[in-house]
Amino acid sequence: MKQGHSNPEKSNAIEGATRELARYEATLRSIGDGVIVTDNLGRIVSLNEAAEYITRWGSAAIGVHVSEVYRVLHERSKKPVVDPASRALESDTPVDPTFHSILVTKDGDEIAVDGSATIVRGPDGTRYGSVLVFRDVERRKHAERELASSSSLAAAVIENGRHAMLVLDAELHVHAANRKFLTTFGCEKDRVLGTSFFELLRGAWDDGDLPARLQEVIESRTQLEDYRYEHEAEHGIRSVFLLNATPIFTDAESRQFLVISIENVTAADNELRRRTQEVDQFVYTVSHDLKSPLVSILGYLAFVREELELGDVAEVHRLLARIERAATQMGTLIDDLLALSRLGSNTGRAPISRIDVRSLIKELATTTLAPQMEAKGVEIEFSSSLPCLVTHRTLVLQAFSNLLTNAIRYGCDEDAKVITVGAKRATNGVQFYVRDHGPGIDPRYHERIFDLFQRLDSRDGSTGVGLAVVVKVMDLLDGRVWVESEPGHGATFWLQVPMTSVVAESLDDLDRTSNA
Amino acid sequence: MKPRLLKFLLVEDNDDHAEIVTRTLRKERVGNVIHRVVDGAQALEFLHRDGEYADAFRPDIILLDLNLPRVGGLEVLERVKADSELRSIPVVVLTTSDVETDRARAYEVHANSYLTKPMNFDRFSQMIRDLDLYWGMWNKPAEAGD
Repeated sequence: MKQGHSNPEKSNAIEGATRELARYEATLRSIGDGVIVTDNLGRIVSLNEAAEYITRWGSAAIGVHVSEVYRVLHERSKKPVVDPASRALESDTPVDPTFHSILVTKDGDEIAVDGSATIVRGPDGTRYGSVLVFRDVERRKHAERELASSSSLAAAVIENGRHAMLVLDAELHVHAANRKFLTTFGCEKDRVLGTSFFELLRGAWDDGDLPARLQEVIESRTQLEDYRYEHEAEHGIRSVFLLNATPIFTDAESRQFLVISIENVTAADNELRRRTQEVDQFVYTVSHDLKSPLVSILGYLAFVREELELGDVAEVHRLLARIERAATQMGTLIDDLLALSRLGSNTGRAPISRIDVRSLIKELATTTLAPQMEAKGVEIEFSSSLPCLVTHRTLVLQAFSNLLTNAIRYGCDEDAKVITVGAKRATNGVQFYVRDHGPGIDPRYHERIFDLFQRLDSRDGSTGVGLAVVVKVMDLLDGRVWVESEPGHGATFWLQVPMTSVVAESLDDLDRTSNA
Repeated sequence: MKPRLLKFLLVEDNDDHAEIVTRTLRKERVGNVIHRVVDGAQALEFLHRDGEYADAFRPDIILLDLNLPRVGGLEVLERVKADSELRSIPVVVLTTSDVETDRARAYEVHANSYLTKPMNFDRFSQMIRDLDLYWGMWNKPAEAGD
C-alpha cells in the first residue's frame, strides 16, 4: 500500500509544494539577474544559474557563506565592503540596491555589479533568511565607457577640426562651437552657446535658402553637402563658404543634433574668379588680334581681284606683299602666344641652377640682342654688381631678354644709346632694374603696357606679348615686375626676386656696389 | 535729292585696315574727305581742334575702332557723347570684336551703329552704301555747336 494513499491530504500538500518549488526554480533560472537565497546565518541555500555563472562558483556555492561567494569591493577605493545579504541579516532590514560595487569572482576576475538584499519571512513573521539579487553591470559599464570615450573623441575631433564647426540642436540653437569657429569669426564661446544659428554674426547666415535647407536636414535626416554660401559684409567684403551639415541622433535621449562644418573658400574662389577673368581676357584679345591680320588678308584679296580685272600688275604685287606681311604677322603672333602658354607648363620639372645674372646679360648682348644693339649702336652698362640667383635659368633669361629688347626698341634713340642694368636689396628680396634714357612712358599707361597685346604704338611691328611674358615669368618666380617712368626722363623696369632665389654670399658684393 | 559727300574721321591704328576702309569708302564714292588718326588721344585732339589740329574739319561721321593704343575706342566714344558740341556726330564703331559685351557696352555709351569688321568685303561695301544712304540722305545731322 502506498503511503500517499493512506494520507491523501499530506500527499496533496507535498505535490503542491513540489509544484511550487519547480515553478520557483524555473522562475529563478529564467531571471537574468543573479539570485542567491541564504538561511538566517547567511549560508547559501540555493542560487540560480545566473548567479552561478556571474560568481563563477557554480553549484559549489551551496552551503558556503554568502560573503565568500559574493565578495565585493568598493568601486573606487577597491576596499572590501560587506555584501548586501549579510548587511540585511545584520540589520534585519532590506538593503537598497548598491550601485557600482566590484564583485571578485571565484576566478579572481573583477566585474561591476549592482546588488540589493531583502529578508525572507514566513506568514507568521518567522525569519527564514535572505534573498540577494544582483546584476552584472559590466556590460553596461563597458558600453558607458565606450560611449564616454567615443563622445569625448567626437568632441575632440570637432574641437580640433581644421574647419569651423558648430553643433546645433533641433531648434538650430548652438550646442557647441569649436575653437576654429570662435577664432575665425571672432566670437566668445559664452555668447555663442544657446544662440540661434541665424542670429549669429549679425544674421550672416540668415540669407537665401540656407534656413530652409538646414530645416530640411533636420526633418528629412538628409545631409547638406558642399552648400556654397556667399556673404557680403558691411564694407562690401565678399566671403564665400562651403557648408556641410550632418544630422546626429542620440538614441538614449532621442535628441537630435546637427553638426555643421564651415569652410572659408573665399581665397580659392577669388583666385578662380581671377583666373576665369584672365582666361576670358586672353581668349578675347587672342581672338581680336588673330582676326586682325585675317581681316587684312581678306580685304586685300578682294582688291587683288579688282586689280587683276583692271590689269594693274604693279598694284597687285603691292597688295600681295601686304597680304604676305599680314600672314607673317599672324605667324609671329601664334609663335609668341605658344611661347607664352608654354611658359610655366614645364617649369615644375625644369632643373634649377645657379645663374650669374651679369654673365647672362652679357651673353644676351653678344648673341640674340646683338643685331638690334648694333643697328642702333646701343650699349649696356652695369651700375652695380648683380647678385647670383638659384632658379630656372630659361625664365630669368626670358625676362631680361624681353626687357632689354623693349629698352633697345623704345628707349634708345640718337641721344640715348645706353641701357643701365643694376640691382638693390629690398625688404624680402632683390630688385633688378633695366633703365633706358629714352622718351619715357606716361604714368597713365604704366599698368596697361603689361597687358597682353597692349602696344603704345601698334605700327612698330611688335606683337604686344613681350611684357605679358615678363609678368608671367615673374609670377612663376614668385616675384613681380613694374615700371617707373616720367615722360622725357627714360623708363626703369624693375624685377623683384624673392630672397629664397638669391645666392646669399653674392649679396655682400651688391651691398658694397649698390648706391640705389 | 542727291546725297552729299560725307566727311569722315577714321580712328584706326592698323594701317592695313585703314587702307581697306578708305579704299572701300572711295570706291563706293561715299566719302571724299577722310582723315585718319591712329589712336584715341589723336582722335580727341582732332575733334577738339587741339594743337596741330587747329584747322580740323567737323566730321559728318566718326568711324571708330575699339582696340586702340593709349586712349581706347570706348573712352573716345564716351567722351564724344558726353560733349554737347560733339554728341550729335554719328559714331559708327568698326571693330573686329563681335563679343556681345563689347557691342552692349558700345550701345550703352550711345554708339550710333556697331559694325563688325567683316571677312566678306562685298558685304562691307554694302554696309558702307547703307551707311551713306542712312546718314547722308535721310538722317541729316543736326547742325550743333558750330
